[in-house]
Amino acid sequence: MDDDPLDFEMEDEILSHPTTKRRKVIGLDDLLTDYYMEKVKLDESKSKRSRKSKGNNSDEEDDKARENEKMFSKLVAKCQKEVNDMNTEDEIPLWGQRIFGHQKHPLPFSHTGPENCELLQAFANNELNSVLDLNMQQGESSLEGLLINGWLLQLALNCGFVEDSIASWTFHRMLYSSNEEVEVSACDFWCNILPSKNEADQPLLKLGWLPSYSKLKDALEIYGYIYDSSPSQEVKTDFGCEGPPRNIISWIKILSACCQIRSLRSIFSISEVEELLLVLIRLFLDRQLEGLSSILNECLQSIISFFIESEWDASCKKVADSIANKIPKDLNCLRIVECISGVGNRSKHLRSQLAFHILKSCFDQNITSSKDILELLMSMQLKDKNFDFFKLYIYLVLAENMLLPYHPLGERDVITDMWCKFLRNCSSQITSTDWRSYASKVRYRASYLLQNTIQRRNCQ
Amino acid sequence: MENPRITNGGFEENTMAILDSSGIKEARDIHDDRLSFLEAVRFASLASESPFAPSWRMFDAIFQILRDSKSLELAMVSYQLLNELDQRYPRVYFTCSDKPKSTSGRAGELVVVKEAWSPFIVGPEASHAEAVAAGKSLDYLFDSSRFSALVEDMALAVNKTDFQLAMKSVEYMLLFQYLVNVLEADFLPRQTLYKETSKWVLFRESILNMLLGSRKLNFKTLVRDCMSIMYRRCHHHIAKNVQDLRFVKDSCDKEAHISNVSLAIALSELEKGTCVAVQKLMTLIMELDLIRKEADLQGLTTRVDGFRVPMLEIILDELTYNKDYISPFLMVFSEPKWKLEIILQYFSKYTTKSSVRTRRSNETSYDATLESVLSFFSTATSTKNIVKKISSEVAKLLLAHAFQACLSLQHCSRHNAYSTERIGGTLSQISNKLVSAFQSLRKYDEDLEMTAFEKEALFAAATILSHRS
Repeated sequence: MDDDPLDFEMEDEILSHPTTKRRKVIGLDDLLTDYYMEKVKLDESKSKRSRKSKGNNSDEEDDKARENEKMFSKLVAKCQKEVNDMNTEDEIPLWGQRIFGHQKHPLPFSHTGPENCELLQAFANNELNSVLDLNMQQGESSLEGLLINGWLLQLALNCGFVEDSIASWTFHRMLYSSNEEVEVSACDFWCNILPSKNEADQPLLKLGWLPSYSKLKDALEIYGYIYDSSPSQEVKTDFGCEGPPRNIISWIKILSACCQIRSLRSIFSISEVEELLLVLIRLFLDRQLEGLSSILNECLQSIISFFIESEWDASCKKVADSIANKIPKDLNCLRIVECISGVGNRSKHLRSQLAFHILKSCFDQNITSSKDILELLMSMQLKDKNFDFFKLYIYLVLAENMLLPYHPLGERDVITDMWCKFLRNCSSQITSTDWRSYASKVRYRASYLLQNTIQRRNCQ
Repeated sequence: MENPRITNGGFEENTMAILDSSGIKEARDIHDDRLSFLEAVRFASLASESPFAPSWRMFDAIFQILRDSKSLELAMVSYQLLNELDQRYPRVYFTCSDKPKSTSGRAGELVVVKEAWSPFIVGPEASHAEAVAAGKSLDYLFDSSRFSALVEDMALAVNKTDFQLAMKSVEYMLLFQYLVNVLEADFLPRQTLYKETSKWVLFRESILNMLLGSRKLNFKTLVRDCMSIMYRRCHHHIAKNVQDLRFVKDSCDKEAHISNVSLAIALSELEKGTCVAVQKLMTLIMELDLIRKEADLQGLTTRVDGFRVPMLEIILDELTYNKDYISPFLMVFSEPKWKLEIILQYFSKYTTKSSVRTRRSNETSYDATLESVLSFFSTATSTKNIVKKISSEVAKLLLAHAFQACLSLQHCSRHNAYSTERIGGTLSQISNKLVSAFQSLRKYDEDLEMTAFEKEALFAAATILSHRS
């Protein structure tokens, strides 16, 4: 029966399936609806007949109905079993990795108290203070007010400098304050003062204190960032302080701002930016940050454009390689490739490199070119009964992305030929009656890609 | 852009087929298919070596996904894709004129791609029928009444501790931000060209003008709704319940917990973005009103253009009759040029001598500058006069906000010419006058209490003075 899962349909005519263009799984619900539809028809015809044969003994028909019922319940049980079997194959987890674990307590603010800053001290002695009897609140709360209402930013821009104690205090507030207003205002403050420059492209402000890689890294650890997420370590029932705090938004924004101003101020070294790129790409895997994809993207673009042309190739390879070695070989692979959504050459390059390195780590570390990978793909035995189509689906999408950027002309035709051949294998060797859901996914994707590739080629 | 229509016929069929959901009942499959569709469009129209512009149907399908996404992932991806497509395939743009003779030539010529898909359906009814006849579905597009309904929905406070409702409000906010982006992209090139040519017709045909000009839209209500979205964002009113999603009782289930956290994080960012978008919309409308006024004065408008009360007047009325709104509104409205303008106009309502103002009169209250407003508070008598009319509470609040706008304008190169004209003095002069204005107010009313914001304004003024001296 396993050979032909459809044969029960022949047993009884009650189940006449409507023809569907593309059915992935026939659920129990479908069977039931069909059954009830048939039953209604049966009942109708029955009542018609019974009207005709008034007074006659209808035992015969009752028996028939009972028999039908028995048969049907058997059928339902059988179907249920089959559907369950299929579902186990279908239960492929969604993408998503645990990137953040438990939050830790933030470091106390260690710098000299911001309440002693010159800004406030100078004003304390101002005659205006006594004339107008301003009675400003003392210390941190008055600074917080100035920050939230935007005065601190205006003063910095108009006076041309920010004191060290205020700079480090606002930065700390931005990363750790649980008060949303304070956090958002501190982030605005930094995102405005960092890129500010005068007409001669020189920094507008004097800053003695600047953000640093270690400050950002410390914050990440306090947010609960897990450097190596292996699924084994998660046994938690209390989710209260699981997951990153809201401040992760500011963290991403400030990282983006720092990378954009390489020509103005040097904040990170190249290896630090590589490390940060790796972290940022991993953030895309956290479902809790799903809603931040716009700012994650912006930040990714800033980091990518941080590198100068001569640095890019090596850094890109390095980052792609270390991501490929860390990532589980499931839907997360596809997510991570697809999240590099920029349209510039560097984004495409990064995407292709990521796909290549993941494929490489799936197969064999000795692979050196995309041609090797295509050869491996073509040698696969798709007709093998236990063939893992889920894996093939992942390979297919990765290979598609690997071939994304422009290839040198001589190589291009060869590669396109191989690619088309592989796609043709996928679409022709998988039968349309193959029930396994990823089998059909591979088939559809392959035929879609094949058509587009051919069309594209004809256009050129 | 080459002619994309020749080659993308098969491509459209092919890609649209990904969305074909016949035979699929599982929500996850539909979700996956939609994602693959968006990814396929992204690849073909943005990332590939020879990109095609998506067809009307494809654009429409993406927009439908955004409007009814039910999932944060789909909502974000479709929103981003629409924005990127608009950048790559603008509906209004300049051509770099290669003919040396062309008009004045610096900005090139304005090209409006009329047949391109747009989320708005505005303008004459006849053109809609034409589109329908061409097989284009207009069911999901926004006309004036739908647009105002969207803004109204956003203005209503929503209980965000319910996932479904919170998701709905995410959709609304993304939709609104996208629509405002479209309005802006349609408006800015026209504005650039207008600066050279002063042709009103450029704006008569702008989406914004057609959208607001329709009788199906109650403009006053729209302005009020925009303002109430802004009050909600003000920190005195900020709803703390956004973060509560994290701690909703039934979040013992892990997946539910994750989606609640993701929504909580997304919402706080989205609400900020929405507020920026509302401000952008209001600024665009006020710019449009300004140009309209110029056109009126030059007699370029006709009866076709209809009449609409300028937004600034409605804002001023709202703030005059609901004085409690002044503080939250100005706290959130941060665009310095129009913030200063609103405040100056507020003062001039009470200070200009001629009380009769006709709609098309030549008289503008343009002569008021921040400097001249501050001068009203230089002597005891004039201070008394003005305080009688607008109360010292409102006066000091407005002065503090005007000063903040003035500070922002100092390093805003975009508004340079404008700001010198409207401020009317150097920063030190203004700071000085602000301090003495507050001193006069204090003399007039010894018990005058000052809010933290006003104290901070004085603090800033004093600090700037001590730096400049």
